[in-house]
Amino acid sequence: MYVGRTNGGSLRRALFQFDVAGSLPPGATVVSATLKIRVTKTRAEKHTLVLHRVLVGWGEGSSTPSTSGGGGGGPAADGDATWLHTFFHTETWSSACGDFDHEASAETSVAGNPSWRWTSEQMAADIQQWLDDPASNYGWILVGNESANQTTKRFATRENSDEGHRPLLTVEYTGRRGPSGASRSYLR
Amino acid sequence: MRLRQRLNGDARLGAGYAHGRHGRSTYVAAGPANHSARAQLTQTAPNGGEDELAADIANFAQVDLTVEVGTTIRWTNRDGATHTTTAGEPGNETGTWDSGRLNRDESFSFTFNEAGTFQYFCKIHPATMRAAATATPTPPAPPTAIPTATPTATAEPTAIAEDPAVQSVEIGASKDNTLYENAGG
Repeated sequence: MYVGRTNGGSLRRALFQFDVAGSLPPGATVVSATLKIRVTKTRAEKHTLVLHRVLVGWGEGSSTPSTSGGGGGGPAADGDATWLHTFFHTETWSSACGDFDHEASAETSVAGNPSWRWTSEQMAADIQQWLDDPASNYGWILVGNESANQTTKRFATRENSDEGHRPLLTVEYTGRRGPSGASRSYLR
Repeated sequence: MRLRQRLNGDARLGAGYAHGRHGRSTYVAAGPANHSARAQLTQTAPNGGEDELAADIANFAQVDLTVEVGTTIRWTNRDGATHTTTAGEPGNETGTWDSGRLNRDESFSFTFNEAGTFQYFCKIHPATMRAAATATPTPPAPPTAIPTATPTATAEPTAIAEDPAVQSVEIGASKDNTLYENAGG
């Protein structure tokens, strides 16, 4: 995933969605939320990357970047979110790549490798809303420094071969215990 | 924070009672099914929330366990051989949990949020590696206030008890995507 403005002046933004309602027990009270994502390629300069709550549904198709390093993207597949489409090629954003809450959920200054975290009370509020009303969960969009070229940062996706590098949302909560097995995990 | 109290024994482990940061877990390890084997239980509070007990799978033995509801058991394979921890009995898996194949030093965790006795076994060595985990209801909290001399109306009991302990869950992304301006994808 890429965020920022490329050497050639094109913008990149990243979308994330997490299955909150399927991971927390109903009725829980969210205490905190932290998103951790890992930089895999970047220039050294520090830029502020801002997380916003997305307001409409979007898709993830089967497309894969076709250019070297993935920075140029590739042909969209059916169901992909693109700069113009929420679901290629049938539904579009109301304004190009613009259907998100312009009030920031969180921001972090990101420099080089490796991992960076976003956390805030607003993120916890976003998670609480998504838990209480799962239909409103369209995830977050990450917007970088779009005021200058060469600000792009590349992040590991959920398909990264190293599980520890994939985007990870950690939620602390109080309330009802989940069903047996809710805490199932593999550790090494 | 990592709170650790280690019990270990050879053929039999004694009963124990330990205090975690946010709660209390009773644990009784009745010893491995194979009494010549060595087993260990370790209590941890890894996330500042749930109590967790670590159970080693060692010397081709599974251990019988008794824990309070809400406790997480983490099994770690200490053998060179591959094992599983699988709920049920050979030929009759319940599906409650199944670690899949655990190589040396790999772990699998499961939280017992319902009371009951759960037989479990190793699918690779079903003839000898069998045990049971018993989850007992959490005991009521001790009284925190002295009753007043004049009886007062009691509140309606809530249908679902709230757990005041802070718990933590890690969630991987279910979807992610990049939006490329001036590009195909």
